[in-house]
Amino acid sequence: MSAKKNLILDITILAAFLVVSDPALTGETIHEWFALAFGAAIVTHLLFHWNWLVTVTKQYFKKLFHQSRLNYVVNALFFIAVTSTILSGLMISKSVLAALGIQLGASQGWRAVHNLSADAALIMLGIHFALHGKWVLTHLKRYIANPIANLFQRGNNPTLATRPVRIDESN
Amino acid sequence: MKTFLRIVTILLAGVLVAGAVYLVVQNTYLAADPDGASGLGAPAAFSGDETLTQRQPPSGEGLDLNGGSPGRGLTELLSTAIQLSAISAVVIAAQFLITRLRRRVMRPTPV
Repeated sequence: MSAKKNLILDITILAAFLVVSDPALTGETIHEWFALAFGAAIVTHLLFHWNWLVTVTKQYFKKLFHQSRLNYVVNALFFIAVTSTILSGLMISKSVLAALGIQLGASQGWRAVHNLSADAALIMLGIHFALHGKWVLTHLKRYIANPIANLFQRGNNPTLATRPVRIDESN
Repeated sequence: MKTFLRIVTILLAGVLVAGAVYLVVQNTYLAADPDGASGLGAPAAFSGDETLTQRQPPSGEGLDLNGGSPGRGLTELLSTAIQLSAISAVVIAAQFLITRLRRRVMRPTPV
C-alpha cells in the first residue's frame, strides 16, 4: 500500500467524517446511509493498516515505544466510539431500518448515547490526527503542496522548459 | 481469502463492541429509569390523550432534517472542522511541550 493511496483514503475518510457528523447538511436519510458507508471506510482503513495492528497487538505488553502504545489506545477508543455511534444511530434510525423492514421501537435515550459517542469520536479523531500530524504534513507537502508549487515554478521559468533545436551539419 | 478473514475479524470486533455497548446502555438506563420518565429508559407508552404533534420536538430542536439545509449544514461543518483542528492543535502543543521538557531533563548538566 503506497503512502499516496493511504493519504488519499485518509483525506476521504476525514471529509466523510465531517459530512457524516453533520446531519443538517445532508438530511437525515442520507446521513443514516452515509454513516453505514463511513463504517465500511473505517473497515478499509483498518485493512490497510492490518500489519501495524497485528504487530502492535502482539507486542502491546512487551517493550514498545510510548507513541505506538498511545496510538493503539486512541485507535481502540476511536473504534469503540464509532461503533457506539453507528449502533445508537441504528437504534434511532428512521430510514435504514425501515428500508430493511425492521422496527425496533427503541427508546429516545439512544439519541443521548448517539450524541455522546459522536462527540467522543470527534475528540478521538482529533487526537488520532494529531498523533499522525508529522506523517500527514510530510505527505501533504510531498504529494499536494510540492507538485502545485512545481507547476507554478515551471510556468514562471521558461528557461527550464525543453525546446526543439535545429542542428545544421555545416556547424 | 486473507482479506475476507480480516474483514470478518474486524466486523466481529465491531459486533463485540456493539453488544457490550448495548448491554451497558440498556442496563444502565433501564436500571436508572425503568419507567422511561426521563426519556432514557424504555420508550414511554403512548397515551391516548396526547397527539402526535405534542410528542414531536419543537422546531429547531432534535433532528427535523429530512431535506437538509446547505446554509446551516455548512456552518455546522465548519464548526466541526474548527473543533477537530482545535483538539489536534492542543495535542500537538502538548506533544511539543513534553518533548522539550524531556530534552531539558536529558541534557547533561555542565561541569
